[in-house]
Amino acid sequence: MSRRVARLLLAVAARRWPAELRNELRREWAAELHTLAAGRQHVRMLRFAASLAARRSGVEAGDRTPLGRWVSRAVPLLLAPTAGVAVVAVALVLTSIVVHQLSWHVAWAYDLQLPLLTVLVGSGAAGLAVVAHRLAGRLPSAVPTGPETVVDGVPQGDTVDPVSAPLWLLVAWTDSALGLPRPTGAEIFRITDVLVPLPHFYLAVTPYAVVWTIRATRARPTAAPALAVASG
Amino acid sequence: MTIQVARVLAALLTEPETERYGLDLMAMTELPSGTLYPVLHRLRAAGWLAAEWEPVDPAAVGRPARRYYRLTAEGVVAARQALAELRSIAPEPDRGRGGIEPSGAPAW
Repeated sequence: MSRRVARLLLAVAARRWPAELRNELRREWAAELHTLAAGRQHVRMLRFAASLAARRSGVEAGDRTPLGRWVSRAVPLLLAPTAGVAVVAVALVLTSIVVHQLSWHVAWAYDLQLPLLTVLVGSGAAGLAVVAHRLAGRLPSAVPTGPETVVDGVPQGDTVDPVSAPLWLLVAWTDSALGLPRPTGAEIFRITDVLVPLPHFYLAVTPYAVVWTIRATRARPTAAPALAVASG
Repeated sequence: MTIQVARVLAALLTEPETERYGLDLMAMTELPSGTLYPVLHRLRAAGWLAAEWEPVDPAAVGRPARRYYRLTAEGVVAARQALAELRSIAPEPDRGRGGIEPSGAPAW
């Protein structure tokens, strides 16, 4: 079991390295894993694999710990549903107060309920989007874009052309440009290296959200009302 | 040069002709695998380190071949020079207290 977990971790670790190095590294790590497994050093085996999976290759910019940066990106995202609930709750309370006050003066006050609630929730959602825009703007750019570094006239291929940005989520899942000219192989490495956990988080959450939405909005079949047949 | 790179170079320089594999270097440097392998990659890219697969038949020995690392001739010279420079700029140990603490260790 621990060997299987270690192999999985090594598979994750290999994806953090450029594609052209992965096969050799997998082979090398598998050999070290075999040695540890043969010596029944299960804890060392897991630590060996986990350490590799937790650290970036450093090929691009030295040793970095990605966890802190990933948390700083994921936490505001995870808090979004809570903020959404708060927006709806505040809108409901405000609608109730306004409609109650108006009902003393005009007859159509209760007709205003739903439009007012919709406008307030929409405004709150727009406010949340502004907050998200500002929070995300404080973070360093996840994927390096812009002109690439040139050393001695040789382009270093250390940035990603943002023209392919709409594809990045699919690229991170498939490790492929889907037959398109962009992103290039080097760009795919940059994208997957930087974005490894978040696309998989979306992948984990999206089916749940989609199935929930479809099932919840689909009308539940109800029993046909029985016809009252007058007897006699 | 980072402390991690210096530790790897110091380990490799103890016996420059000896080939070392990953677990061996992890034990010598006390670096985790996630730190060691990026360092090895950078040293290889700089031409200081050579890597070779163990010349064994995995079927015959019953295990996969390992990859061994050894400093190149250029790497030996450069590593010695880099470590000497590092030592020259490192603060002297405090002789006034008997000089028993390792260099750079906190005094508590």
